[in-house]
Amino acid sequence: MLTLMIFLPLVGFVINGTLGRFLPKAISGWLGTAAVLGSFIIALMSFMDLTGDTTMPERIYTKLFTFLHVGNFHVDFAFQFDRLSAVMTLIITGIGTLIHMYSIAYMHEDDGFYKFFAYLNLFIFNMLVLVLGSNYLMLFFGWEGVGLCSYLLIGFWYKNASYGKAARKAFIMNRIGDLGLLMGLFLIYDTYGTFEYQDVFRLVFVGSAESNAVNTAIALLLFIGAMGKSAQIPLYTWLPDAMAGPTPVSALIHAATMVTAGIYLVIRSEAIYALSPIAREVVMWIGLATSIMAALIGLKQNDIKKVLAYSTVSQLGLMFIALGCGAYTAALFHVITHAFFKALLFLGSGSVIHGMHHEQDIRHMGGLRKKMPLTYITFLIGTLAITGFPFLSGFFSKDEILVSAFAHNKLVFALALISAGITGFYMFRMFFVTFHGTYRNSHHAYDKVHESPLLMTLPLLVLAVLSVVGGAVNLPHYLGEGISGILHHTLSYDGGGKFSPILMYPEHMPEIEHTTEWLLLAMAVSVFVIAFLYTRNKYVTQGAVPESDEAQAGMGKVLANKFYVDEAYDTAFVSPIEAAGDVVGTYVDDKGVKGLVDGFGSGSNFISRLLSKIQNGNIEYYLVYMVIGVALLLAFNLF
Amino acid sequence: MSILNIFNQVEISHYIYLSTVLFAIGLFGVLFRRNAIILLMCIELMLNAVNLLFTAFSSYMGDADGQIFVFFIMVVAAAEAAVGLAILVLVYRNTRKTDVSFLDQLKG
Amino acid sequence: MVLFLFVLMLLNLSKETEPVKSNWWGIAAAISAGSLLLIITAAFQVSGEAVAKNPVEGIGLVKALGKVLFTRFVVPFELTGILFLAAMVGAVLLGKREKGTDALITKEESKG
Repeated sequence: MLTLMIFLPLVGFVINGTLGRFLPKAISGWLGTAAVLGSFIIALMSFMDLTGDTTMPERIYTKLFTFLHVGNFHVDFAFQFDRLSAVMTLIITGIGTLIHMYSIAYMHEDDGFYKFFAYLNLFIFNMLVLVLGSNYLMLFFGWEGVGLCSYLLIGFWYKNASYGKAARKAFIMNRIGDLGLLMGLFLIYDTYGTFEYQDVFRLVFVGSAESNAVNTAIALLLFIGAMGKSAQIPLYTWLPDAMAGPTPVSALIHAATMVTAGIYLVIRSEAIYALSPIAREVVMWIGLATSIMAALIGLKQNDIKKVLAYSTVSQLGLMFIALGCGAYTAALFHVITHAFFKALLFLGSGSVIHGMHHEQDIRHMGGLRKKMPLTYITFLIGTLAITGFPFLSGFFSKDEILVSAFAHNKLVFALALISAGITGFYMFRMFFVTFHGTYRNSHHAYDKVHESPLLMTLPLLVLAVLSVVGGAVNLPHYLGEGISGILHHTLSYDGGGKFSPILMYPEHMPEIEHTTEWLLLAMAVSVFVIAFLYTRNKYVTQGAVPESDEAQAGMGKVLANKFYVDEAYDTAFVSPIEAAGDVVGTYVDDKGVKGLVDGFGSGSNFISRLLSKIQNGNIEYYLVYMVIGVALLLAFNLF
Repeated sequence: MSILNIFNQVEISHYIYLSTVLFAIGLFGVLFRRNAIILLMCIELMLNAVNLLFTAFSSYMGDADGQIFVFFIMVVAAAEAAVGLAILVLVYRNTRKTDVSFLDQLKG
Repeated sequence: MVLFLFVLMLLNLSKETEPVKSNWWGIAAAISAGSLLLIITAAFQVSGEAVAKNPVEGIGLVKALGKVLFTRFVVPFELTGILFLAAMVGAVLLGKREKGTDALITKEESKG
């Protein structure tokens, strides 16, 4: 069953990849969707097996074959479906199905339609391998695979050179993070002698106190990998550029699934992180810095997708803050809710782009709520969810993060609260400028603006519903004992002592008095209200419009130019490497290697010309040569 | 029998030296002379030097194989001289010279 | 050797002067021949005692020679016969007078 679930998307990839050219678009698209839907159904059934049964197994384990067996080194190609991977799989396949459905309509006019679905299916397969692997090597396999698919999908419209550049940027930055990940894996093998999760974590748990330094090193190296994949400082600049890909790609990969791979890695390695407070601190501060910086940049972006990209980076920062504070459940909770509303927002923006005939600048939009009502309402729900409107999903998850931050470090809490506030500002800014106010494009285009077809609006509706009720996954305990903390219980479940839970070190839930908690809640809500009122006033009542690119000034200019980070990277890393490449290209390759190879040719030519002078046709010379030859032969024989 | 005695009184080493010197002189002639006829004659000289040595060894060791070999060497020498001179005559008819150094058309 | 004399007669070389080679040639030839001489001599010094393979009685006599020649070496003997035949045919063919060229020689000689 497990194997089928994982390999269905692969089958879809193969069929679409090889035969897709000959299939009509409808079949190709629905085939891809059906593959993922099949995986989702199997995942759902397996999840029931895992949790609903009276025996409640720890995990479902399937070994396919021995991947590598060299001397003492032994790695299996095996999958395990335990509570953590179950949650991740449901999200991946569930949202994946919705996005596949959406893409059938969105990519409708594209020539590479079948290719798109092939790549999407391949991506789902790799992501499933990542979260369902039973050892670190399978995780790495899937990790690289999703990096590849990200590259393929970002540069999907390959005829545009800058898209290709963005794709390469994503891949290379990912690779830099992968170096850290690889070194972490090597260190894990060196210290614990195995890659299997079960064995590693048991060994970590048993040999706890002495190996702190090694564990810290491993944790930090793994985090470097997570930095690359989940777009934290300093490896985040690829994510905004990745918006060059089609919108469904941005929704699936760069919002809901791939970027959460880093979070999954950290949660999975909870045992290692629990033993190194230093690593956790590093994770937290980097997450915090990323969160604030990305939020600030998002304030001044004018491309609908770029705002959402920076928002993703910022939210990922929030998740890492939670991980750093030791609140793994809160981080996973936020992954789930973020997947819902971020996918919703991206798909909604895709709907807007589709309706506006590929216009992406919000300064050229406005007043769309009358023309695209369904998109408008779902987008509103998404915005409210992300900014923390009370009782929507985002409210609960963000609040839990803030509470854990407060329990850990008050300064971090304050800064995280500020980040959440800025989230409200830029999200509402984008929302109001796009949907309210007066229409700012040509009237000719206005007539063509239309609501998107059913295949696009249906996923929007589903995701909107999920964004509203998604908080039920892990309600805070003040709302009642019976219905609260479902996710937390799932992750901490140990079958009555029969097996080790996902979170081996019992997560200490922050002990905060009720009054303090209500106070924190109130602060979060008030920040939301302030953001809402301010932006509504500025952009709706006053009808302000974000400035054009030339009119940026002062701090605004710095933010609009993304703190000039890209330019800094260019000068510091890219240009020297390119220059070095040029030097090597001319000297080593062109002159050195080519010279050597050519030298063989011209050398032999030269020598042959020299030697050919011996053959002058004169008998006398030949006779002398003969005599000398005979003399030499005899001499050699003698001595 | 008396013939044999005389032969055995001269050491084999003398024959060896004589034969080798003759061979070397013949070789020098082959390398130095330009006239084709002289060239062929020097080659004959070399062959005869070898003949002498073979015969000497054959008589000193009582082995008839040496003389048989001399027999065959003489046959080959004669054949080669005949053909070589015929070629020489032809060349002379074409170039009116017996100089060997003008026969370098096969160069390169 | 008679062959040589006949050829000399045919070529009528009395007027021709022997072309002289440069001195360098002489030195080169001397060195090569000399080195070969040295090596052969040295070879004879280091070589071991010679052993007779097939000793026969009465070595100086033609009778002994004939006996070995016509029993053990009869096949090479016949082959050399064939060799002679080939050489003879070849020599005669090569030396054949062509109509045109030979007439030239006789005419010149008759004039001069």
